[in-house]
Amino acid sequence: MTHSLDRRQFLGLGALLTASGILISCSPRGGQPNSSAGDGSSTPRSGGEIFYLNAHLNPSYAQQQINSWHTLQVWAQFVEYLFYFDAAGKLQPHLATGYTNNDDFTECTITLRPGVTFSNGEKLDAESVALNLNLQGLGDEGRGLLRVANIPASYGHADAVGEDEVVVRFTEPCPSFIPILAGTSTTGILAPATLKLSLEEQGDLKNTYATGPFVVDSWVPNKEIVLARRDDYDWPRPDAPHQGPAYLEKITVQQLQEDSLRVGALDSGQVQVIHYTQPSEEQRLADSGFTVLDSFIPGSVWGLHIRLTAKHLDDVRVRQALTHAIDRQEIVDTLYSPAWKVAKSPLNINTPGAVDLSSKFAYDPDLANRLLDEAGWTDRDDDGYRTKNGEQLGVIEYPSVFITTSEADLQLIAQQWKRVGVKLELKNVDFTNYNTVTSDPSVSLYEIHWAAPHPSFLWRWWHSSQQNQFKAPSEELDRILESIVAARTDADAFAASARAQQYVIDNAYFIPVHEFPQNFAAAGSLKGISADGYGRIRLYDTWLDA
Amino acid sequence: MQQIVSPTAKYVASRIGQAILAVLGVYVVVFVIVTVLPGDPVSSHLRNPEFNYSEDEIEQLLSYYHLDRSLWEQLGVALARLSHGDFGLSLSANRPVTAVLWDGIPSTLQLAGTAFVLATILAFGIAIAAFYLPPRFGGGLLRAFPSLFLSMPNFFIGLIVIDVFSFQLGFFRINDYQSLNALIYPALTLAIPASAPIAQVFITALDGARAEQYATVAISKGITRFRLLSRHLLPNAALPTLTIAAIIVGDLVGGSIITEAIFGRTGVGSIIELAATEQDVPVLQAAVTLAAVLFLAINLVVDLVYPLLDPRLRQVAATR
Repeated sequence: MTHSLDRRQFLGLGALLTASGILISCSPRGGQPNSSAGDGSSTPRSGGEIFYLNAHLNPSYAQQQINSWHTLQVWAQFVEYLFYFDAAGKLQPHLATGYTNNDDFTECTITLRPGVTFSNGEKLDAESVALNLNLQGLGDEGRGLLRVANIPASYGHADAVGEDEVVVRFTEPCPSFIPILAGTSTTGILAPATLKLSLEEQGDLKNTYATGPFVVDSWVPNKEIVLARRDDYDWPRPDAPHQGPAYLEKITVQQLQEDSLRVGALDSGQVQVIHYTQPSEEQRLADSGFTVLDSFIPGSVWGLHIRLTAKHLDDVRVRQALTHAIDRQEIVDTLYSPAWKVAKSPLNINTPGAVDLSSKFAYDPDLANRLLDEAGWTDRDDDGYRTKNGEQLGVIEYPSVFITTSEADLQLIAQQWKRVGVKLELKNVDFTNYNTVTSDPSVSLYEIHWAAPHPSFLWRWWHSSQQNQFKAPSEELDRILESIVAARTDADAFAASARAQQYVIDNAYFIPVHEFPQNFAAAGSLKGISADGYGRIRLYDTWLDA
Repeated sequence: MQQIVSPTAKYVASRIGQAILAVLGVYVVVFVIVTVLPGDPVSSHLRNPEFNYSEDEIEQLLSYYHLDRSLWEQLGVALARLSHGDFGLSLSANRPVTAVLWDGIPSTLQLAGTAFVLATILAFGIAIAAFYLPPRFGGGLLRAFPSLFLSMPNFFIGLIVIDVFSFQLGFFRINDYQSLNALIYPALTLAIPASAPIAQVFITALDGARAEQYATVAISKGITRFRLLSRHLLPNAALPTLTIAAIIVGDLVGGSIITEAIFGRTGVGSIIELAATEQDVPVLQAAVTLAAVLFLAINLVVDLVYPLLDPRLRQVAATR
């Protein structure tokens, strides 16, 4: 049925809508009292409760399933690791005190920190750590527990030697084992009582006993986790500003998917911390007195793998043209805040072994045009795209389903490439089929922004026997990558990593675009907040100002 | 000995039998459709190249979840479980499906129930006020409200409600999912567009009843407006309104997905959304089965209530 409006009704409705709009737009946007984190003017005080909003919380917390940046932020408040990367990107011990390797890196001996207990009272000792490492390294098929994928398939077995030493043996040399433990989210140390449970039981957070400064008080799947301070905690990381229990008494973590609403909740003082602020909000929040943390993790920048098997991309001139046609500064200035940086390397520049190669892929549209002309793409169609023998120069990309900013980045790149006559066609696929569809060799580009705690991860991504992201094997690249895995010292591994980075840039296999941080915002009244070198927020040293 | 079974009891029994067959049919169709689609939550997660699992390892886990079996084998197992009221294990939550859905059912029932009550009050209020008020004193404007409400998407309403009542006025916390105070606002967000069709149908039904000859006769005999409305017009206008209200209940449950996401509530809607995204077949099946049962139950209740409202229908029901 329809109802027609007469003039009076129309004006009445219009007045109502206008009034609503005025009411909303006249909203006072308050910040919290301004103060930067840890500015030294505030004395830490014990007590208090905070609310922390996360975009996503899991329905199950079996450690193999916490593999997302959102969930990791919560997990890392009550689960700890043998080693970690500090804010400077340096490898440090935490539940361990150190490690040694034998000459051929087939045995690694880890020495454990004394005096550590799990929240159910069990002791952290060599037996409990060996149990953890064996489950992580080997999995348990019968219980549906997969091994931690980052741990190499050469993992043999871990055995306890005395109370505080664990020897881990490999079937092949593994110099990267300790960095992998530090830079992988699913290698936290859990109590034997948790590890012995079924997959279903391990998924229940009430059964998760660990060594962290907080314990799970209660939880609602996909909704909320309440963490309570552990009063007998006394084994913080070596770089922690304080000892003993955490300052905060209680942390309530809740899920709220909508980015703008998380910011609104922080603005209005309803919550004290949020994970992931939209880049467009970062500067405003910082200017309003909120603390904005951007933590750049060791690993790749946000960039594009070029599939050499896709149409038109077997020609190095075309690939080089694509990389020189991207104005990275325009992308960062348009879509992000000043805290975001243009890429200088295939890796975030704070990644050990990253090399500044920015001069080799600088924005140069004249060079891009010359390269495409040399490659024979000299004709244009009615839309301005280059053609050769009647075929349009176009490439295909599926925006990532895991990164909210992916599509915006790619749309801007599509505009930039159009200026040099290249068509970037963006297609969409659902979450379930994304990995299958994008692994097709005919898909021109595949984006990446993955953690890489050790240069051997480049071997995993690029070697023709591994993920082979470029799809067309290169003997020379394979040799370089094999030398990373064979390296016996960090210096040798970093040198080989540098050669691999240079190769993929010189041959335009990879297009770096911008660095990619983990991002948080916190109320000014929350002091001492920080993130470690792996992008995990640290609430142990955080306190609420009076 | 001759047993007498009332016509109503026979009717109810036959409707329940039809409903069971319908639910089974829905269960099988959903299972087949979702299972034949490419992908599943286990392999779609493990095939992420960032995790670097081998095909053997992926096959191992698929076998653990019995996802390597044929479609008909999986269906047979699912139906056998269903006969015991067991919907199996959620593939993404690793918990019984009934527990997963039960996490969200109370919240959704609260939200949808409260929204239905608010929508009904709002709709009746608008319709009766529009009936009473002359056009030049606001009656005409009130008649335009259903169109306005219908044209406002509930995510838009939700964002306004949150911005004004939570962030600016502080009447409720955005992520408070437990207090009654916090329930009213998401319920209002759902109720506003839901009230529109109810109000529209009710206004039309009242206008239609008012135009009937019996109403004209009653007025000429000096009946008050209130008595005309309550004794004569309302019962006649109630039937079509009841029908639309029954449909709206289903819309409220479905429409709660967006409202739940905006207000940070975990209800059946958000659980279904996650299950659809991750192709968690057991949860999807259980959710669709539940929805089918709900719709069929509501329709059955409405069919049984009709004769109570309209004596003319009692004779028809008795002869079925």
